[in-house]
Amino acid sequence: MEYVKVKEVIRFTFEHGIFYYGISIMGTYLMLIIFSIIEIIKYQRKNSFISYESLLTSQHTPGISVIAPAYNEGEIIRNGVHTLLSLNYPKFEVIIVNDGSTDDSLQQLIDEYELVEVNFAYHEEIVTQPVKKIYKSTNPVYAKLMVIDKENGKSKADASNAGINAASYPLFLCTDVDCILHKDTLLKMVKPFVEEKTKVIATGAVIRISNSCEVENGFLKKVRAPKQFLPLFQELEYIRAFLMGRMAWSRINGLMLVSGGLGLFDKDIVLKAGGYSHESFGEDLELVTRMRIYMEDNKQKYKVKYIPESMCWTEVPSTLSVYSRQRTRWAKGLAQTLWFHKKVFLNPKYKVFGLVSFPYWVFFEWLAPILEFGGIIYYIYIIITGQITWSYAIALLIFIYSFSVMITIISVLWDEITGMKYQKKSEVLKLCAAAVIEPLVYHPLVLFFSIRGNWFFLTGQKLHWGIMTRSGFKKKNNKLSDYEQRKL
Amino acid sequence: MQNYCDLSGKLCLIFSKVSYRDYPLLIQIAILVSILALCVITFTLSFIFYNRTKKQRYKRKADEAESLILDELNEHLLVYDSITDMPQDELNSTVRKLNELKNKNAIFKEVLVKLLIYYKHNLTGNISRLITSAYFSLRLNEITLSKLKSSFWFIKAQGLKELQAIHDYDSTESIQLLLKNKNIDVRVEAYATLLKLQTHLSLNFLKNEKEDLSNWHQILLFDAITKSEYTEIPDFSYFLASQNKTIVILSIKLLLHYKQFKAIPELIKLLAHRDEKIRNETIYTLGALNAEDAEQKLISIYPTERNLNKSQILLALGAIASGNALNFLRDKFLQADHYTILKSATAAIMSHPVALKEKILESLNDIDEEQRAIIKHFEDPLIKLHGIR
Repeated sequence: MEYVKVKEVIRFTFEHGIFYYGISIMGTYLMLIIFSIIEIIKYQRKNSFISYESLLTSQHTPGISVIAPAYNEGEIIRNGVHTLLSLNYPKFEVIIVNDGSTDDSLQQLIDEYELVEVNFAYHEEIVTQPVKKIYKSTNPVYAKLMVIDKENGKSKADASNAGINAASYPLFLCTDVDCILHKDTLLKMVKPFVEEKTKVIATGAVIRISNSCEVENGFLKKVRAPKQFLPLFQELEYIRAFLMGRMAWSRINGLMLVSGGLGLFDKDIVLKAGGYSHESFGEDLELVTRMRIYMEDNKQKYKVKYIPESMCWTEVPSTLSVYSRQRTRWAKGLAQTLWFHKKVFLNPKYKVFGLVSFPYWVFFEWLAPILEFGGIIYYIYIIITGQITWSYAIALLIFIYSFSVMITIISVLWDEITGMKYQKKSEVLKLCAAAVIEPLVYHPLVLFFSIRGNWFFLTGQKLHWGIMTRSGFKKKNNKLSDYEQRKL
Repeated sequence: MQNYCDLSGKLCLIFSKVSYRDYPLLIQIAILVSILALCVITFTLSFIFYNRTKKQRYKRKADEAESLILDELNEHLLVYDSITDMPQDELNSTVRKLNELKNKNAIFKEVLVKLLIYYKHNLTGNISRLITSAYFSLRLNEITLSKLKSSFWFIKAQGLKELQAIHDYDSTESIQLLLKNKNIDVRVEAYATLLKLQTHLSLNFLKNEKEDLSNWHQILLFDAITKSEYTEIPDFSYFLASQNKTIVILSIKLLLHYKQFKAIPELIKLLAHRDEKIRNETIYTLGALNAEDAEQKLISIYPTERNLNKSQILLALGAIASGNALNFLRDKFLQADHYTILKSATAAIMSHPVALKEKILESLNDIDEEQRAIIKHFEDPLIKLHGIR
């Protein structure tokens, strides 16, 4: 009798707990939508009369070092560097970090850009693998270019840190050579740094998927919705995350993640925070977390901002094997970062960051897949034991399904309002159709790899990387490097 | 198949037999939210496609308007070098046609304003004056001025930007009203517009502005002041006493731009200012103005400054390059406890004339590998060290 009572109590607690947890997630998402809408409207109003010409011609515009690590990027490196060199900005340098490539990437750069070794005094403010040589171009046309040749550090973090050590300017943009950047990326991303009266330590912008886009010589010719299923679902995920999530967090200055593919940072604060972590599997999330901790610990006012404009196009995994590795790493990186910086959790000293953003990441980013997985197991258990009330179960499933589709469709609408990137209605229709089937087809994958990543974290299992092929706008058989997959 | 039919049959039975009120509260909430979500999805989807159709229709009409207006401008207006070359009949008929186009609908009006401002911005000389003339003949300035009365701050700012572009000198009265607007962006745009439209430079606003200007505002104002063609430039040192730190910084930047050497004594006094940013800007400016008189003061404040300003002092002494501070720079090079100081001291030594530089380098016998490397760094012609500042 006692046993039955205890069982009932557990069941009641679990079912109600999950329900209210679900309601609180949904409530949070609704809040994020509202904040995001407010922030985007504010941004659009502020930019409705802005001309970037003053910034472009001013001698007081802050200089930016564009840092792009490269490992075995022989297929695209020349075009990639051309794209970076043609950015529209008055004061910038491009630092390519050849992270011990085993292909001819470096030789191609030397030949294409007339590079010679220079006596650059490389100062290792952040410890990295040894730098072998530093090159500059003898051709004044490429005076902005610097190439660092270093030993492979088995992480993008190590290569980026080498770039930061050599950077001359007070701000640096972290990106990848295979990323296609909008020509005004620097102008638009630097604006929060010059516009805000409070110190801005980092800005991010919307990253889009280039898998089916038309690309010519490293420049984007036509934006197209991904044709394959996996990239299409990821496009939805990106729109949701960037336009809804990050803009909302930017509004309340609670942003904890600026993507590794495109982020503009204050170099001084990054150096004081210790640069990218070599050990983290989510080095971008970890860096911003550490920068925020540094600012809060030193009682300095700061902001992390996001702009709702698509500035970067990158290729995402189109095969399940690459995707699985990426997502497992992300999940492991998230668990790692949250665990490593657990002192921030609900700590009033860290204000919005400690009381809102960090707990959000713990409860709704890290814990959600684990609880969801527990819920599925519980469902299976009550089905097998015949305890399920089908009408309730179906009502709850429809409730969760309809809500998630609603959030995604609102994100698509917001993408349309902010940019209307797709020319054809059929492409938007495709996105909407994908939003309808996403919870049934794609979400289980996200859940599975998230659980896997957490399992790897708990058991301390290492992640191994094999050689993979990428499709899309590049030539066939282009291998993804170790950290390229992490970036994706 | 049989089992599936049984199951779905049972489900239908369940749902049909139980009414909404019989469900527990949690399930009732879930059903209610699901219905709401479905309504939102339907509405949002409809809106997405309605919005798309609307925007595409607008774009089509705007393209059509642009093409018609461009034809008219290119064939009848922009073929003349100046307004005096244009026969009066031709001018009247062109204005009449453009007026007809303008009155077709709001899209035509909007496109016409946009195109004329675009041409005005990108063309100079007589053609530019021709465009201004057409703009006023078509009374498009009234549309722009009406924007200044909008209740939305960003519409006001848009109007001000248009006035700047079209050089509407008669609008200064309307702009004056916005100088005290509560929104700083509107105020700064109003200042910038007035600066661009005034024939003589009046910087009274610099005295009256109490709110801090962001770097962006400073860039806008700097741009407006330095790109205007004034005959008389005020003495910017007058504003160095402002209580608003950002106005002081802007004035220092302007002072440097106009090479106002007579302000050097005032700048030297500013080295005692309690704000670190102001001191940093002052140190840089003294260096850029080659203020030899400031060398001793710069050296004297060096120990009390933090690394950022110490580095700036070294660079300023390098920019002045009189040779008087070489021993000081040499000491800082040898005693540097931070890489930025080492780098700045080296940059400063290396920017001296060859004879002075060589003399110091020869005296540096017992230096470590890092010091040797940084000297080589600055000797390499391909490395241009930018970004210390």
